[in-house]
Amino acid sequence: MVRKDDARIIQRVLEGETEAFADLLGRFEAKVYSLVARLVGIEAEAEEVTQDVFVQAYTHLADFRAEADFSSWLYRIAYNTALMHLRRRRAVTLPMDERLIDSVTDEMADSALAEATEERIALLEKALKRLSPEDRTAVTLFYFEKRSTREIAFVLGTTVSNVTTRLYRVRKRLYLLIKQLEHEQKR
Amino acid sequence: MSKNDRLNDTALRMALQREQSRIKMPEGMSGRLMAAVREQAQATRPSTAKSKHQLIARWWQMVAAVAVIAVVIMLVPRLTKRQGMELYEGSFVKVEGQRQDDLQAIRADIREALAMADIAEAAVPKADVVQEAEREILQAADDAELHDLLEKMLNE
Repeated sequence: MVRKDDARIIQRVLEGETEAFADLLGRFEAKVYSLVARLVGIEAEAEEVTQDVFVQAYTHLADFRAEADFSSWLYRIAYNTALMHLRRRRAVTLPMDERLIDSVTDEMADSALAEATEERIALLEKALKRLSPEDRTAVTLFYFEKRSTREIAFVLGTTVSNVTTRLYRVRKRLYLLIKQLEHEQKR
Repeated sequence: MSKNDRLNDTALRMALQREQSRIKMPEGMSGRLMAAVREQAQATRPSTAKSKHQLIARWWQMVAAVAVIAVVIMLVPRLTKRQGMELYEGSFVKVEGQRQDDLQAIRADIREALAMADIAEAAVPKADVVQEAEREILQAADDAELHDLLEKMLNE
């Protein structure tokens, strides 16, 4: 549900008070920029994409439906805009063999993601950069923003069960990426 | 994925937190973002731009209104012509030239006539909705080619 103060600001902007949009910007720009920077990877491009996100949000403000949280709506625009940007840049995420993912047990993934040693955290930070934008958004929103699978489904434009499966498999994918990075470091 | 899973993945959460600490918003970005929004505001006002959702809703409203009008146009002449019957403001009915003013006998016909009158009356404001919806659809088409195509479709 949309927060009352967000709804009031949105109403003012829709009534023609453009400057009221600065309040929404002030509240959400850091969060949007953060998600965009994680997805785009290059800070100089992240500002440009963030600008596109807020211009689009302003232009389509009349489309915002109060049943969704305003920040989720913004994240959805941010995710789609970043995705478009990555496609234009022809950024490629290397696919991973699904059978390989299936071979990873829950216990293997559990220990890889729980043991908070300095080395493991550093490896995970690198592994996160190798995830697809979809996985990266899901992981960021779930673990960092502490969003529900329902909200993540809204942002990604998919179903809750799809998000649950994605989060389940991404843990195994991260395990494999850690192993891959360890192997690269040894060479 | 339960809340416990989220809590147990400590290393992952810490990696995300560390990544976050490296993300610094460029200085003066807020001002630049707002300037871009102001520039956009001069070109378009958000409240005037009709959404796709609203246009679709309008379209269906229009289709429904046209369907009601079509039903009325089709049924009213059929009712008045049926069995050579004429209705005179509910006071009496002429059936094949014979005046019939027995209310018990013509009750069903009166009820049917009143129901048809209700439908016809309800259809009148719908006609305004149709015209307004057509106008809004044409206004929302900012592309000249699309505008012409829509106008042609609506006139057909």
